[in-house]
Amino acid sequence: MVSTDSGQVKITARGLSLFYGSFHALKSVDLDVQSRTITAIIGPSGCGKSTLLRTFNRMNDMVPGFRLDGEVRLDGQDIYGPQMSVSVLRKRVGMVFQKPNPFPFSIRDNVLFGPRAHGVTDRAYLEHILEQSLRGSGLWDDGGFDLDTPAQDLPLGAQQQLCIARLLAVEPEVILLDEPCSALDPYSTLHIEDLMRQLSEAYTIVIVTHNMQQAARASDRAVFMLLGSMVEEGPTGRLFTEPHDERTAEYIMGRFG
Amino acid sequence: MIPDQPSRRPRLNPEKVHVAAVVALWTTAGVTLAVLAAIIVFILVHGLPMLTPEFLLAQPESMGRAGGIFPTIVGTLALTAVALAIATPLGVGTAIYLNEYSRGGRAAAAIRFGVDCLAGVPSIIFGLFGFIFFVIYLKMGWSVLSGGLTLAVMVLPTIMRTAEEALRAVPASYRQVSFATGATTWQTVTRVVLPVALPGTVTGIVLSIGRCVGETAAVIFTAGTALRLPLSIFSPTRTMAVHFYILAREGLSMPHAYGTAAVLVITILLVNTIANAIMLRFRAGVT
Repeated sequence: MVSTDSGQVKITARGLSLFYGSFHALKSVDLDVQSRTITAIIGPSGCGKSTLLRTFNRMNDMVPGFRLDGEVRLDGQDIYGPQMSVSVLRKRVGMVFQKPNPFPFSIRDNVLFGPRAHGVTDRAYLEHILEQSLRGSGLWDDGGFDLDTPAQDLPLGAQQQLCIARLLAVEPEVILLDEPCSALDPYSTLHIEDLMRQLSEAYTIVIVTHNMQQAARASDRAVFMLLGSMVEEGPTGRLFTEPHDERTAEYIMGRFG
Repeated sequence: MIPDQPSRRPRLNPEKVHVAAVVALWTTAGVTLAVLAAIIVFILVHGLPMLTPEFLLAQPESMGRAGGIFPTIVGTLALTAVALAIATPLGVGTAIYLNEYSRGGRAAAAIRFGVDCLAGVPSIIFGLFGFIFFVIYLKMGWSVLSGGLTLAVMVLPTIMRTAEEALRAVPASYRQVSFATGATTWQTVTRVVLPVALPGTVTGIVLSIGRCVGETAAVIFTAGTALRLPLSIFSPTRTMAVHFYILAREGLSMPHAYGTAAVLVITILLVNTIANAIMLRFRAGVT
């Protein structure tokens, strides 16, 4: 795949406000997420960074008291609009969670869960997806292991790679990662960051992290959130060296958060 | 001012307390095991001499004083099968609805409350209800169907509650991943939640089998005490437990009563063993 559309806008949020009951979790966020780049969302705990991430695949919808103003568009299409099927949206915008959470099934059944749920039954094609996804997540090369072994027997880092493979298997366009390395050791963390770099050639990646070094190392663009508002957005190098906003400067210098 | 060091009361030696606790707990476990073993051994010692192929496969003669118990074995199996065929889908379905579809709410609370009340009702009350409602009002008469329906109502709370506990024990993260992959609620339930919750759910079903096989009061009122072989679900029948009760109560034949009890006990042991074996196999496959 040639990244011809790199730099184009994949997701746009305009005037995005989100409420859980009376709690105002996101306050009028305007953001463009660029295609085939890694965008990091940083900020102190409770600033709304995970909430923002979860608006992109509508994982907040089920929270009681959820209400949303403004709009979020994926390739120009309103993802909260009536034409958008949540199932199709989540196939296009996949998510990796904080704690590696493979199902208590075999490696094979984990990876093929998504394709099967979306109606793929052809055996040869499923085998093809299985190999491609495991290759894509870097597990195939590490491999040599039996694909029928229980996924939860893998080391934690490999479990997270398996979760990424499970995601790649549904052929998404956007990958959302919600603090994917916070449960991992430094070596596995580095591994996942390398993987993100490779994946960004073909996928749009948005990562939430409270690890500033990780954001600085592994992202192309960075977004700084504070108390539900987006304070600043820009190329990672610039945001970390010459922040435009006083609050960004204080946060990245470690004065709070 | 620094207070004086309070005088220490002489304490028990923690090592000795530990040893005493181990001995006490070991004794409780031992007594429990001994009681169970005593009952089973007592019944088998009295009942096993009766167990011949003829006893298992022949018709009873002269009210059960002689002959076999074949119709009561068939009756027990038929009644249990009907009860579970009705109670399992109802109970598991309700549990899935409450845990996976409804978002709490008053209806869910009302259903749970009703089911919990049902669980505390003595079986004789279910028998009277079954007699009045199924046997008389719905004109089903004393039959496998009436008895099975009554037992279904009786074990429904067990099946529903154990299924619900099993579903609730499935980590929320599995559901989240499944939804995040674009799976629907139904796909999430059938492909992730139910397989993970199956061992717990089956435990409830096995417990219910035990209750159906061992029930007397509710069965006498609804399935009758007929000693003929039941040929359809509309035939009256007598279960092993009822047969044992009548043989012992009427003083017809204690050896035959013990023989029946032995078959009952062995049946329940078998059901539990098979269920455990299936479960182990299943767990090896899934986890």
